[in-house]
Amino acid sequence: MFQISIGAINRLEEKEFDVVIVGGGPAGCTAALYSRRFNLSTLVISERFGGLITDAEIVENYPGIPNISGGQLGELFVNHAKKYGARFYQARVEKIYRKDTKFFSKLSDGTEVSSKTIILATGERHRKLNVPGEREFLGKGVSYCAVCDAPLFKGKKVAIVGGGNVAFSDAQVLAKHASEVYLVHRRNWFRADPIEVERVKKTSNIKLITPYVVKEIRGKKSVEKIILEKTKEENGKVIPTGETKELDVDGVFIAIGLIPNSELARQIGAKINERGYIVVDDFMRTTVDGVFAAGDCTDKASRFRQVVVSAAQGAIAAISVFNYLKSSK
Amino acid sequence: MGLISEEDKKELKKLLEEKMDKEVEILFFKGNTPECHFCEQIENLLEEVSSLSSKITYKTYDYQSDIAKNYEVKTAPVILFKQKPNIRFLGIPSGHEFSAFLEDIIRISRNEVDLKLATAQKISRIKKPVHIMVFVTPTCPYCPIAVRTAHMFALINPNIRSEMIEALEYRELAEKWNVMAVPKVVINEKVEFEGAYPEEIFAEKVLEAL
Repeated sequence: MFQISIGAINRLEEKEFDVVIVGGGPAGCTAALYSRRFNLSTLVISERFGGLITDAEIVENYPGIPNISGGQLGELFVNHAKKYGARFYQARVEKIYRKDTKFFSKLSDGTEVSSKTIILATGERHRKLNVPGEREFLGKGVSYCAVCDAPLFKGKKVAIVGGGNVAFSDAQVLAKHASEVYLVHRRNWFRADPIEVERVKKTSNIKLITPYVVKEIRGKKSVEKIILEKTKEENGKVIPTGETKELDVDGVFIAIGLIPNSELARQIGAKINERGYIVVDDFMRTTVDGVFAAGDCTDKASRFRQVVVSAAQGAIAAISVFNYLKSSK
Repeated sequence: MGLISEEDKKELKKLLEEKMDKEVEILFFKGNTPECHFCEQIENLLEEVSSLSSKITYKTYDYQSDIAKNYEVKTAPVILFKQKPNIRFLGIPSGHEFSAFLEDIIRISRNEVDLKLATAQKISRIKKPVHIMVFVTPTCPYCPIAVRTAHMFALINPNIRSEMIEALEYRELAEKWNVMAVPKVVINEKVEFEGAYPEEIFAEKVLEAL
């Protein structure tokens, strides 16, 4: 229950680097660690160090570490890279542009830094349901972060929407606080690992409600109920049946997947695939010379969404940066 | 084992040695057990934190004592800083909040903030009293961002009192303000919003509440 985390003090003395890494999740931190071991001057810019994995209550599939909280794992990654002298700076990168042979990154606090190369490790963000009430009740019962807000729903009824690992692990977190947890999913089968599904099925205060989609979130001051519509699956497609029902809940947690943060890549002209992910080759090169990408923002990792895959790509990206700088000397 | 691991202690000692300038005195106002679930843990935490640097000291008082009245402390647990009593933690600064707590100690010691000039100017010009409540849970990774900003505002303007409020320890207060997501910020009991906004937007909300 009691854990300590140590944040960064935001200060930036140098303004020129061999590599600027955008994003401080598993891919960004691993890229930073490898870059430093190659003796490249390295800056990691991130709004949030550790990345989205820090929202996970428990991570049980990172090799060598049988059981750790997402927050602690994120911190281990950051500290490991710091140990070798990577600089971390908390800010949002607003814009990246190229001038001659250098890249300039303009940050949300007005700072500008330059670098010979860029690694985009920008990850993903939460997908929205796009139903009436979702935006209106955000913070009034609608949440995308179960570890943050679950304790505020002690003894209450909540729904968790989604069928992947995040939804199932969120259901477990919620079940510790809420009296009743409804897991709503649009199919009768789940993308989540069978081990997660089994655990949820064994938890007495979690009920699976399938196959249903959320049509609307209703309430007065805060969420009071959700309107569900039954679906059926035909040739792999989810089709609404028109049959609806109401479910009384005080909270709706949404975990229906993620969409890539690829705006910066688009800005510098790197190729993006039809799903919005950054296209990389086997060496994590984007289609722009000197710009690399790693982790869940890439077309390669996004199909897996695993910390270990992102970390591996971060390592590859850093090695590629090193070789690139060596050959361009 | 203590609350802070031996390895972290080593790191923290180095960090504090390097970053701290003036001494910082922490005042802790505790309540009776068992009503104050975390008071004992808070005292243990402060004991450990003060052992990390000779420049950090702490004193414990009852929340109903005369000294509590002097600081307008009416509840427990409350942690504040003697040098900057308008920077406060209502509840344990554990989990993700520990980093905000440490940063506060360093910032108060150096009397230094990381704010943009434009934001700092806006905030420092405020002449009316401002009360900022930032509701958090220890497991919320976004919350320290809001706490940090609110506390930096208080550091540069004594008219601003900024409180981190741990929503589970201050359940009644959290219910009063209908806290259903964290971080939730309430300014002068008038303006409220959820989320860790950039300092510019946070500053605008403060001005809106005047």
